Amino acid sequence: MIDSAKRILVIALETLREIVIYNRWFQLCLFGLLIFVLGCQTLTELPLGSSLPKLLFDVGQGIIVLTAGTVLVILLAFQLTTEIQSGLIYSYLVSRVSRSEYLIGKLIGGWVSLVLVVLVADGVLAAIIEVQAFKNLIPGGEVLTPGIWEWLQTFLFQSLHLLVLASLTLCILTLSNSFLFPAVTTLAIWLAGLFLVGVGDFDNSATGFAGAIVDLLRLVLPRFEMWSLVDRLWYEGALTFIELIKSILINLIYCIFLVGVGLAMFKHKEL
Amino acid sequence: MEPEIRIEGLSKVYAIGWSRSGPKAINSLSFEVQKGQIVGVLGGNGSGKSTLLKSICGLLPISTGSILISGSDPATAVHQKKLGYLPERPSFPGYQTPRKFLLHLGRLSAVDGGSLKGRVQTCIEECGMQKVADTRIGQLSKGGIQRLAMAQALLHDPEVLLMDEPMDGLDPLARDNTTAHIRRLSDAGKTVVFATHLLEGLESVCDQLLVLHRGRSIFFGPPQFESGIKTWLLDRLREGEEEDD
Repeated sequence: MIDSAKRILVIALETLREIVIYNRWFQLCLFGLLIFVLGCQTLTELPLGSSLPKLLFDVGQGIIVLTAGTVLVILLAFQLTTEIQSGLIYSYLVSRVSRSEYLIGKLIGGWVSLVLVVLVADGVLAAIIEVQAFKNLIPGGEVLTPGIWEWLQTFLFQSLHLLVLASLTLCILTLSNSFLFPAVTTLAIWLAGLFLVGVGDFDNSATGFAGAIVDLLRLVLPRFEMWSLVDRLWYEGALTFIELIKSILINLIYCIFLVGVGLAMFKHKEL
Repeated sequence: MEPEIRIEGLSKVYAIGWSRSGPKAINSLSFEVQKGQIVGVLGGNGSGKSTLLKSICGLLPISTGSILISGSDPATAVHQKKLGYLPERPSFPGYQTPRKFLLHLGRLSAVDGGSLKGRVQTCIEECGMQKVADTRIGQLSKGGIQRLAMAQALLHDPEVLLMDEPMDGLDPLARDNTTAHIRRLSDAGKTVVFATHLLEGLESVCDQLLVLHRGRSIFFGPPQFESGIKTWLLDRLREGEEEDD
């Protein structure tokens, strides 16, 4: 068990190193993301009053989650399909690592690289919001901004969100040998989970035919609940310990289920 | 004496989609290889050479029959680091250098941390890669990639070496070096099974030849031919075709 964990760690670290240091496409995306987040400052020109910080927070979160998620899906799908098709994976599988260790190591390496990007982007966004509040550019008195605990929870849920997305990518990857199919399908499922009203929100009750469809999608799609969470963290503050544990567990169960299905499918496909 | 590799009634059917009833890549194959022997696997395209090697090293699950490596199944042999594999079209990360890539694989192979650098250096020297050991893999020639493939297969000092087309795309000098290297491995007690299309010099390298035709064995034995290996092989393959018709 410890040996297996060590091998997964070695593959994850090498994947992380490869992506962060040598993947030019990844570096370009990171640069683009930072430009987009910095671009949020253009919103300060608008006459938004005390609602400006919340808008900055919402838009910033949207940019970070959508960009990081899209890059993660494309990166993982491309890396894994390329390494499987090129035969590089054979050098690892004979007398070195098991198929599961290899795939989990790649998934963790890809995920951590994007989590680092999100950490940087969150830092920049927090700085922008704090600077705007400090400069007292917003008329109407004291400006409420998220505290350190709210920012930490935001980062935690963004990371969990990306982990579920990475697991979903691994699972969809088993359905095709090409890069395009898993990338497009995963992005489509993800966006459906993000934007279909009520799909990610178990507290909303649905009625009628549309409600039944939404209920069905709730069962099928992983929980991508960033939007409602962003509002919750802003208006009501950090989640309680119980709420936090519950949300983490739900996300981890999704990850374990998706990775388990993915590994079983890879075995069936005789990778 | 226990053979190093024992294969009995091996068949492999490739799955197509969700169905388990695809084409039969290997059909009721049986043979034994003794420790230290060199076995060349010959056959046309699609005859099952690569499938056989992948099955022996546990990359592909077999459909029926059995494979034993020193009396153990391939999964156990892989676990015990007894097998080394050189893939048909080796591919490695272009941004790495051969030395760094071998160190990375060594860490995964659980080569002792203290002796890992020494082991990597030995493999680099054995495979004649001293001059390119610190060049980026993306800049290596076809021969350089093939030598790196050999080095990674030997890194954990396996007892059985399975090589898929190790001389494919090499110039005559590199080919000669590779065959000499295979001979040295055999002299050191390693068992080598390699698939090839190249017939030149095969008789002098191999202790046994296995000829496959559409997944079946049409010859297994020492390479002794009066009419020359090329004529002999073409005759065997034609006979195989006629039997199929």
